Amino acid sequence: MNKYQRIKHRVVMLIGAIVVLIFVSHVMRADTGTCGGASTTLPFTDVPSGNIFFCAIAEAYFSGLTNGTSPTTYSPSDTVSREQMAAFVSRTQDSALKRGNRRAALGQWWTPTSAGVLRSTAFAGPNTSYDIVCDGDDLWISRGTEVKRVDASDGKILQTWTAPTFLTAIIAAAGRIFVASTSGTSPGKIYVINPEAAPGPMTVFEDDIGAAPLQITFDGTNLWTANFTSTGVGSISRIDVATGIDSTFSAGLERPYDILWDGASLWVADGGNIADTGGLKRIDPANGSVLNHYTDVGSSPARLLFDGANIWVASRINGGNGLAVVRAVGGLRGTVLKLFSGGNLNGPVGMAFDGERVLVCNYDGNTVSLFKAADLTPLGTISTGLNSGPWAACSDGVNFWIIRINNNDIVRF
Amino acid sequence: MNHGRQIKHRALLLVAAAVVLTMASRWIQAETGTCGGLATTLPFTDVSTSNIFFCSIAQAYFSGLTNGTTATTYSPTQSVPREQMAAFITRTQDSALRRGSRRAAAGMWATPQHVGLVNTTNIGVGAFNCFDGTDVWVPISATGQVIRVLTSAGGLTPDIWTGATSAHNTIFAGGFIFVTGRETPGKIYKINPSSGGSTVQTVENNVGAQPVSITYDGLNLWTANNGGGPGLGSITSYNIVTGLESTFDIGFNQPAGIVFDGTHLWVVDGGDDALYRVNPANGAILETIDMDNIISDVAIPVFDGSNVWVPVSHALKVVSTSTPARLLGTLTGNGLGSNNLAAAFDGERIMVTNNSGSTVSLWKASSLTPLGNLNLGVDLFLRGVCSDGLYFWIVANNLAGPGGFIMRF
Repeated sequence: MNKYQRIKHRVVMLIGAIVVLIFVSHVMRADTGTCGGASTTLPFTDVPSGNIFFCAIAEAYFSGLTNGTSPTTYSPSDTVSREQMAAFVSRTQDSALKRGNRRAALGQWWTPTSAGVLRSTAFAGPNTSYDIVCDGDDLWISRGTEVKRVDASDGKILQTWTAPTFLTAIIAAAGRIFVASTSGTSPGKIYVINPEAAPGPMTVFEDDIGAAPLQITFDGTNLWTANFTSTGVGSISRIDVATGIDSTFSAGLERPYDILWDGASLWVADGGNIADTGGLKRIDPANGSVLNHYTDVGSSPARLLFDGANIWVASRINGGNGLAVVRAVGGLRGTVLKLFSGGNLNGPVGMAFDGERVLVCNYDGNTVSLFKAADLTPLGTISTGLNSGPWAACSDGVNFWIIRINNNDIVRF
Repeated sequence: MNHGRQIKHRALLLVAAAVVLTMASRWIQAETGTCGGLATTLPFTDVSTSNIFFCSIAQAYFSGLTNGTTATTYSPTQSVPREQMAAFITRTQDSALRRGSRRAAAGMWATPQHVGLVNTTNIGVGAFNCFDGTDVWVPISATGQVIRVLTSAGGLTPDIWTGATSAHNTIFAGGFIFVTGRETPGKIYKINPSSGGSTVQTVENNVGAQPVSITYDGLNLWTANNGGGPGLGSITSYNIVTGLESTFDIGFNQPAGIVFDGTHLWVVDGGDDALYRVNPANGAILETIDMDNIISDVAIPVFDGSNVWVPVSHALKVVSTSTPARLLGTLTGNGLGSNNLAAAFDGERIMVTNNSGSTVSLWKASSLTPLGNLNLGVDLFLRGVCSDGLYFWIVANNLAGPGGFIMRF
């Protein structure tokens, strides 16, 4: 090869290298396509704009549902393993819940970090608050022989309704407010409030259900109460809201503390006469019989909460200091998914769910614990104030509202 | 073949054809199974009723999460490539957000296409508003008033608070309404919404100069303080329990907006043309994302659960809050103008006010795609915007005309 040929050869090699570089840079660059009429650029070099899934991949990337297989690749033709599938679907669920929550529209991305930021609505009289419910607009609190209606927007007390006997559980159902009432071993009662009416004495809706109804639920037709009784022979009562016909069932039940309808099944937290006989019981709503008895949910379960998939079972009585999460639906119904004990839990009682988070009141610890319902991870435990006695809670979809018995108030969380 | 054999042969062929046709019709027929106690028919011939996922596939089809691999096949045993998975999960997310929205329950599928369809209420010359879960609160800078607007009726409550000099921006936190006073030094006013209209309480009068934006981290209010000029800006934290305040100016030039994402603060700095990730524990800058054309006066960002949206001049910047942060896109057009001021999120859509163009622009948060824009009039000088989950509420000011009002979009 003479000098001229060498120069020619080098020039050819140089041009070739430039062509290769241009080609590679073209292939490796981020791709830009059009989605919804707008120019869209992805960092992935293996998703050409001609890919029919270009915009779907863009949306998944922008929403944080995927980060790709590397900073510059998505590997669109790779198959998805079941472990990757779990990540995809759980991120999708999280994103939908997080963005779809009303707190997102309000820009409320914070969580209170101290008792001092919890604004209080104080009550006069004895500190006898027992239960709290949100009707979609206002809050209703049963306390002693009265029910308070509170504006969930500004915390202002709007109305006071009264009854002659001690009020316990309260529920918003069928356009009305129903309140259970107990008077020693006498039959329990249910009072009803028409929210449109002027406040005053409540109307008796039912006066001969089982003694000592502590909690109440609704299955779309019937109210159901968990009747504790002090004798250890408890019961549950069913009251048809349309006809007022009631039935009380006691077979297989000892000390029902709570009752819950999950949309398909009726559940009872039975504290039992001794710790070993208590448990979570699934009830046949047709006849009140016990269909299943789950004993591995912690000692003497007392409060229940449903989050759309699982039941959260709190145990404070009989030395119980735990929290169990039990699958409520599907083939794994009754399976204990997680058993929390100790830690920041200290006397767990009332609970509430806001569509994303579960709040547990720690009565003895004067705190509330937050959990992410989707993966059962703790989100923190926050003080509600020294000796405040957080007892029950509800959610209005934006805020949790907590009864602090010892402070004789409710607070917005 | 004699005649008898021919007839026999034809008969056999006919029977065979009938058998084949019967089998074929059985194979290609749509399958009907039972889901939730109801007969359910799928167009897919390859999903048998005995498939344990029959009802899941039916739900995915009926919800529009999948259309199958052809009009009559679902290919249930095929593996899913990652590109198809992206389609599955984004459709799932979109469907959940769309159906889970309050607008779905209210049957509000329409977006106003004409300004005449946007309800307006006169309130005075307002600034940057907020929603408390029931009502909207609007600060009126010139008069020092804070107005409460009923979202259900669009009308005003009789409750009007006074004494909020230079009232500029609002937030609902800890059960109270807090309002920034855009003065030097800056102020923070407090309103107890259950007390009825009265004079606001001044809870802090030593905030950094010219607080233009406010957010909350669960304990502290944080203000972005414009400072009134380059290099004079800062951010201030105000503990709503103890009343202690701290002002941080290291690294800040001229903050124009601030938002909390549940973990970090994000500060829009118009002087530095940057978005800062800030540690709420000490006000220190953790990360800098370069931007351009940030309006130095006011630029109110919003967080959508994944990303921070920052209005800038002639564009809208979208930044992922992952670590490290990534600029996902610079959006243009769709009604954006030279003076985009504030952004709001309703769970599904982002709205941005274009101050000088009197236009609002809508964006789909999950895909960053434009959903359209609407010009609300002439010289309306749009400012704040917030969402109640059902409507967007926009503050507009026509100084040469009827004055200020709030618009329900």
